[in-house]
Amino acid sequence: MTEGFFDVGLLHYLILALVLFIVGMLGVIVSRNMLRIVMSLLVVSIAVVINFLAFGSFCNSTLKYANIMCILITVMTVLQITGAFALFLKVYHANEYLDVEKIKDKEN
Amino acid sequence: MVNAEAVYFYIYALILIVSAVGVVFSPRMFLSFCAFFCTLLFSSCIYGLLNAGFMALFQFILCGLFLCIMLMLILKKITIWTLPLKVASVRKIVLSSVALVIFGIFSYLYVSFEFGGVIGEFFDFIKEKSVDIVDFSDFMFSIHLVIIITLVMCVMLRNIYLTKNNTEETDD
Repeated sequence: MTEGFFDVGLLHYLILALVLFIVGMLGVIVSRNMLRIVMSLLVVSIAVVINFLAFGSFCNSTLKYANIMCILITVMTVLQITGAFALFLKVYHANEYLDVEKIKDKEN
Repeated sequence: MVNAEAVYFYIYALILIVSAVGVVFSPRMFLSFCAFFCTLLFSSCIYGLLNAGFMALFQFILCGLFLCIMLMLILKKITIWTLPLKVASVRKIVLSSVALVIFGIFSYLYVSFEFGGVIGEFFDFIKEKSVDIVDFSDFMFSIHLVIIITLVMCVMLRNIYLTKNNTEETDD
């Protein structure tokens, strides 16, 4: 872990993943538009994938496991997001907006 | 001597972070969408730097092309392509950032104690184990826990906001 500024190592990738993770989580917390929340979740997913690949790439014999897990994560995320978009279309046609708080107010 | 890989890493990382911030804080939906596409594109570049070219190609085709085209069609269909998106109030952003930083410190301490290292040296366990053939799931376990706890915390924070600030400003 003694890489200099121009020697990119595991720590650099982990810090990048951490920053992306925090930005994505911030997006999930502060956004009120459903589409933006889902896009923020994909940013979180990218951070997790970078984390896996960094561990896999910098540890011996684990890159193939990391690749398999990342493909699984990506496919699952895309499937979930596709389902979410289908639901959003229904919600938008029913309410004419995608604001989570307005929808919750309407439910109450 | 400057390493070319390092230069690529810093360029890609900077663009990736800026794009991710753009996804969350852009004022218009189409800007958010463009930032989203850039995030996917440059994360694929980062995967390429990590010797995972197949994964990079896979994500770019699946997310960058398939998902973005689908999202674009949906945005056009429900005519919110130029929807103005107000950024949440400063108080919320500051509170959430503070909560996430506190959470980050706690997760840092947790991982540190979990692996018995001194604070600031907890990544040493990777260096030690990487000499041998490692069971990948062994040391990813604690990270999984951290991710799950973060998601739970996000849900809790959202619920707190929804119950306390129902009458605050509307977004879109």
